[in-house]
Amino acid sequence: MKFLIVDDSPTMRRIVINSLRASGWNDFNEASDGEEALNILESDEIDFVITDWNMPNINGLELTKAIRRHPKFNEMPILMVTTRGLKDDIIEALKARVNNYVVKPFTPQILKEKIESIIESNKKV
Amino acid sequence: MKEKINEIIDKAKELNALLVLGQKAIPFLEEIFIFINEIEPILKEINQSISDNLKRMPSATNQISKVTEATELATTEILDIMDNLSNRTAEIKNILNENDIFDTIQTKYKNKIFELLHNKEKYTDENLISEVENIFDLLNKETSIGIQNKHNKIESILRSIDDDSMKIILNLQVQDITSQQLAAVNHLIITVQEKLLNIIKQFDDYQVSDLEVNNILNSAKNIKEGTFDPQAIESYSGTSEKQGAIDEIIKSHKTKESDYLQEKNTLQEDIDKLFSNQNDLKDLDNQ
Repeated sequence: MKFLIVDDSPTMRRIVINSLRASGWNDFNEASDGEEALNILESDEIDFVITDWNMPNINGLELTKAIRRHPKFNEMPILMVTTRGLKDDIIEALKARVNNYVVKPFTPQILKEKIESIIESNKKV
Repeated sequence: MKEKINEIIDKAKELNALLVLGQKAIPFLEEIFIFINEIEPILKEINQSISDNLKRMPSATNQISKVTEATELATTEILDIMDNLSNRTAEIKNILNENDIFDTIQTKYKNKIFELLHNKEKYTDENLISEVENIFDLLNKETSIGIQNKHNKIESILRSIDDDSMKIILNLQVQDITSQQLAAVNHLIITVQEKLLNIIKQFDDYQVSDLEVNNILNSAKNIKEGTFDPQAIESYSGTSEKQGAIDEIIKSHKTKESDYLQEKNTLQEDIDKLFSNQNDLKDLDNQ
């Protein structure tokens, strides 16, 4: 499974990658904003997107909406990992159809659980 | 009489001088009046701007203080974890150097062999060999148990080191959180700068260099609203409770969505039934 990690903070991308490695996943690509992420989705075989919300150019919410509108990637599993923890934010993200939501700071265990839960529910579908 | 006339003439001269002064002063007073009219909105704007910016400053100060607190908290926790890690590695070294138990086991079985050899006349050759084999089996078993215990102890310490490294990962995320918070403070400072720049531009005498203006505008471009979360620092406390609350919201939203979809399905089923009934009716009509 190949992950695309989208975050404008290189430290956060590294933390996400380390957490994924600790859970046994080893295939990644990285993007620093939504625009770069959309380009990578076109050129690389990505199976799962983990995105931050607050980013320059195209933010995580706009990226999610763009992916859902895209005929090729509209079923792409998306996990939002962000500092935004207000109820309205979560509902807005759910309306944009993120598959799950993790608030920063997170433990690698939480990240693993959410990814596995998304993979599991996608299998059922 | 002449004195009185002179006095009147003097008064008239004074009055005349006053009128001349008045004539000269009126345009000047008019200019002052126009100037005050022009400066009044600017002064009001300056006043408003200073008042607005003063209100924002405590928020910026507060945010910077929170960043300092969060960074300090994370650094202290990381240092505590590092101390713990250092203790743990020392424990592993001690376990690896612990050979007393094996020495005791070896001495115990060495003595048994000596005892056996000392009393060898009591045994046949076959029995003696069998006894020695038993002693070696027991020695191997006890040594294996000792090794397994060491292994278990080291494994448990490694697990706790793993947990500690996860805690470090959690604490390092403060970097992203504080950088968003500082971006919010930067955004606020730039907004104040822009406002002050607008005020300064209204005074013709004060020239702001293009470089200064460009610097401010470029900073504003780099830190746009929406690229940072001004409440980011709040997420640093009580994360597990927050994630639990978020999971509840997601669960409830998904349940509602699924209920809605089920409703939609029911409606579709009803429509299908209706259509199948209509077909039945058509069949009946044809008959």
